[in-house]
Amino acid sequence: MFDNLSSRLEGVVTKLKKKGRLSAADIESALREIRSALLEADVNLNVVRDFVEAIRSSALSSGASRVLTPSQQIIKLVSDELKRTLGGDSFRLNFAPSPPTVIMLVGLQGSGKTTAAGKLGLWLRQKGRHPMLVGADLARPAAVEQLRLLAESAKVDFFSEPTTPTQVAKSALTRARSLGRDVVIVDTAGRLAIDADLMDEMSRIEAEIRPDYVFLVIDAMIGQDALATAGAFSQAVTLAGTILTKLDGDARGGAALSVVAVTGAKIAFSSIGEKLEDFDTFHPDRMAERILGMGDVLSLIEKAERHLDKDVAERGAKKLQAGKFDLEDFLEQMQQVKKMGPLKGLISMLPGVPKELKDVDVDEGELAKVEAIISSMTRAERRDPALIDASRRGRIALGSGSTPMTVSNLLKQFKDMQKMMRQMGIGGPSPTKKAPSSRNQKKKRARR
Amino acid sequence: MLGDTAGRLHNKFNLIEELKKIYRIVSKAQGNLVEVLLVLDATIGQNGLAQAKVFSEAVGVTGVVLTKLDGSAKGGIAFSIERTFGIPVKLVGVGEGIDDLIPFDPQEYVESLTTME
Repeated sequence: MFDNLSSRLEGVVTKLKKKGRLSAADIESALREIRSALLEADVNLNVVRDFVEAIRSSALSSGASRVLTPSQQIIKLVSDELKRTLGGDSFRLNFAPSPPTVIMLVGLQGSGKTTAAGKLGLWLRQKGRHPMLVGADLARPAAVEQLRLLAESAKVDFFSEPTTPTQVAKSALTRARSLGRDVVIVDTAGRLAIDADLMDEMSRIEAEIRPDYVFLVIDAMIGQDALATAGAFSQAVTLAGTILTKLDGDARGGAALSVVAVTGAKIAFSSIGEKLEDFDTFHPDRMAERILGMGDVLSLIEKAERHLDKDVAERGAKKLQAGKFDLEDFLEQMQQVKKMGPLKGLISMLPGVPKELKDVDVDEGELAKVEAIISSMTRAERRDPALIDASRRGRIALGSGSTPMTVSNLLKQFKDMQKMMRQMGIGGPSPTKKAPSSRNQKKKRARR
Repeated sequence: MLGDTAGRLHNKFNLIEELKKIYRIVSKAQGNLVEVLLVLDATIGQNGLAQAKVFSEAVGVTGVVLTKLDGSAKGGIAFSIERTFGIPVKLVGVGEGIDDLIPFDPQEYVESLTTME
């Protein structure tokens, strides 16, 4: 996500890092890099100009800072400006005082409206709301069916009928009121900005159901046309914001910057994966930091809070402190981390992780293997791995579909890890009463 | 025979591997595999180039289908793709009707670009 933009900017900054002071020429060369990085990222030319101008004027006026190094200074300027262009504060959804709150999704064909509707439904349900998804896309074959299935897996209500889009939306509102649903999400058909009939139809639906929010759904890989599209949609309906989809691709998403700059419609939500839960409020500040390679620690913490069981985590930490962290705890903690989603996503959120590492494909299968091996051990073996002799090792290998070699490698790694933790002072003074005895046992067995 | 595959982002390693496998199986089957068409939306920006690269390396794309050319977007990235990878546009989509997929006519395409305003 925004990968290339961030790496280009990192390039600029590394060049500046070597300097002690920032000269006017330095600023110019940095600005040039920023400009071409933004253009390559599909940001609209006019937006780029304004962006670069804003940075230039603040860079020249701010002068030398006593606290910040030149590179930090540029980063700060760019980050502030990115935040500003991306719309400042995060979007907040305010619910209508008299329910239901009506949300309407519009956009080009194939931008991801229907999927976004399903994801938004789940997101709202998790916030304790009772949303209803409405299939008003009667044009695309199976669009209604797709939404019905999404509603089913998100466990939210669904409504559609084979009439007209306007009629569907109207009936849905009546239905939602009678069922006491507090949010109605209307998925409309995709349309081209220049299709006057369909744009009219969209305005009519808006006039009829008076939505509280109309969101324009935009594909992150859209190019310069984003501006024309967003402009036309914002003329036909009152846009409350946009939903940026497919951000898990490697498109630089610069068009998003343009759309915000030109229509003033903030990015409200973003979608970062194929699963229903890969969807969240969009945070301009975090995104700006992410673009600049400062990582996204806040999102990571939030993710951890949402998915990790605090008790399990604390239990693990206590055992670690006490030097009693065994394979059983290890398995438990690993399963926790897995809940937070693919490791690759987690790594990309960490600050200071070099780009090379971010591009490495983490083999999630490796984790599954480790899990299988540990799961094939008996409780006693997990608590005291020293118990595992050749025969037990063979059994574990067989049970987990691996080889005795992999099993001993894993055990060795675990032992090394324990040793390392002891050296780091975690787990207290190393030889506790229990540890040496188990080590002796192992020696005995090895001698045998 | 015409095979339609699931949409996938080109930076998803496993999904591209899956596509390669489909390609290998189809190549080995009876008959000839004549075309591998990459379908691109005319609204796509610079990312289209990255997609063309990954997809053509994975499954030897022989041509591009440029869809939604009836919108305001003109799919200019097709120029870069042709120039960088030598993959020509073969078909274009110009409407929502079933018969709105037509052979690509370079002359007409360039005219539509130059007469815009």
